[in-house]
This record gives sequence, structure tokens and C-alpha cells, in this order.
Amino acid sequence: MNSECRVEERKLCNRLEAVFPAISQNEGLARAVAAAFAAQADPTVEELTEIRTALSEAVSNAVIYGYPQGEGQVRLELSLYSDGRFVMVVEDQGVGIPDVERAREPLFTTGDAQERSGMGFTVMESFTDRLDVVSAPGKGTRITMVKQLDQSYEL
Amino acid sequence: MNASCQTTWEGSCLVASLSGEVDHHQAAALREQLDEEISRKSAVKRPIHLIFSFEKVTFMDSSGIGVIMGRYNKIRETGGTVFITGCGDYVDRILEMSGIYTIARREESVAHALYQCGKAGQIYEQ
Ligand SMILES: Nc1ncnc2c1ncn2[C@@H]1O[C@H](COP(=O)(O)OP(=O)(O)OP(=O)(O)O)[C@@H](O)[C@H]1O
Ligand SMILES: [Mg+2]
Repeated sequence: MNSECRVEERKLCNRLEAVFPAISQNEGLARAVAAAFAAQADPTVEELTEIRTALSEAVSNAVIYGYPQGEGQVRLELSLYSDGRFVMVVEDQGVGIPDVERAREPLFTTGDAQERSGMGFTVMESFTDRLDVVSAPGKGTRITMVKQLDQSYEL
Repeated sequence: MNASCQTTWEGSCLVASLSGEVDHHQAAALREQLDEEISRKSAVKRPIHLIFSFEKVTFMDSSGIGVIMGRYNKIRETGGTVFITGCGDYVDRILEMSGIYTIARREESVAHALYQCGKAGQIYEQ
């Protein structure tokens, strides 16, 4: 094999960090922040919808499951790169997920089975290009979603 | 933006027009409102049907699936059917993924769903 390995030039263009209490009122706020931040890369309407939906899933999970015993914080980090790569990180310092592989399966839920469908991770996966979940009991949960936007961002 | 829900009864069919952003934060109020409407008529021992309209929904995540599923369980107890109408592409994609269409019927519009109920002799005054 003699394939040439080219290192793609990828520069960080902009980054935003926000920390907010894990309360449901902030789900809409987080979506609005992400949409406003992503808007600078001139995304398509479809891309914006996918970003808002995937982010909403991650933030609601942190709010619903992260802190069953009380209050906590959610950290949101948004990064935009010169090649149009958009990265969203949603992190909580809550209870964590004992079995990540199982939690990611469609229809798996530990929530109220009448009202939660267990489709959050599936939606995140299908609306972004990549989903990483780092979690351990008592250590919190860190969700990283990568979305490659169609047009590359120009500084 | 808040989600809201307008409900009207067409005989034994409850038409629920959702609007705004359907997320986890808004879902609780929607559930409460719909359950109250359903329980108003579920004492009458005849099937109640529920027709959702998503025409004015501007955003929905997986919480919306839960809203439909939870109501489906109540409607099923009466022997009725749940219809889903007016979904945009994204709402439809999320609902499709969840397999909700195996328990709820997709119709083009509220009028189509009402027609289906009427055809089956399932609309009556109560
Ligand atoms: N931040 C988190 N902290 C702790 N547990 C979590 C977290 N996020 C997800 N989980 C666990 O993973 C499961 C699956 O999450 P997923 O979002 O796929 O479904 P759900 O939230 O249960 O239902 P839905 O999102 O469809 O309403 C949850 O039921 C919960 O047990
Ligand atoms: Mg979820």
C-alpha cells in the first residue's frame, strides 16, 4: 500500500462554552444557543434542525437522568472548525451510565416507560456524523457529537 | 417558544392540535392537558379516538414520542385508535425510527383521519 497520507488543514474558528443548571427550562435555551452559534457557518435548514434535535436529546438526558438526588450543572461546549466541522459536547457530573452500550440501544430506557421511548441516543446518532459517549457510575457523562457541515466555514 | 395544544371534540374523536416546540420541558403540560380531556369522556364505555395534528409543531425531539405513546395506552383501554397527521419531514423521521406507526395510524390530515373514523361508524355523539 502506498497511499499518501495527507493531513487535512483544520483550524478552530470559534468556540463557546456555557454552564447552566440542569433544569428543563434550559433545554430550549441550549438549542437556541447552538442554533445561533452554528448560524455563523451558514448551515442549511436541515443541518440546523438536526443540530437542534441532537443537542436537545443530550441536554434533556442530562436534565432527566444526571442528577436524580438533587441539583447539578450541565456544561455545553460548541466548536466550529475551518473545514465546516461542528462539535457539540454536553457534559454532566452526575450519576453516570453503568452500561453505555446497552443505553445506546434503540428503545432502551430506565425512565418512565410510559413516557420515555428510549430513542434519544438513536436520534443523536442518526442526526449527527459521530456520537461518543464517555460515562461511568458516579463520574458523570460526556456526550460528544460531531457534525460535518456542507459548506466550509470561512474566517 | 412554548408548546401549546388546542383540543376539540368531534363526537367521540378528540382532535389535538399541537404547536410550538415539543420537548421534555413542554411535554409535562401537554400530557396533563390531554389526559384531562381523555378522562372527561372515558367514563362512557365506548371507544375514544385521538387525532394528533403536528402541522404547527416547529420542533420535536424524542419527548414527543413519549407523549404519543403514553396517550396511546389510555386510548387503547377504551378500544379506540390514535391517528398522527400533519408531520413535517423531521417529526416524521423521528416517529418512524421509534416504530410508533406500528401502533398509531398515519393520515394526511385531520380531515382524512375523521373520515376514516366516520367510515368505520366510529363517530357518535356522547
Ligand atoms: N446524562 C445521563 N446520565 C445518566 N444516565 C443517562 C444519561 N443519558 C442517558 N442515560 C441513560 O441512557 C438511557 C437511554 O437514553 P435515551 O436518551 O436513548 O432514552 P430515554 O431518555 O430513556 O428516552 P427518550 O430520550 O426517548 O425520551 C436513559 O434511559 C438513561 O438510563
Ligand atoms: Mg433521552
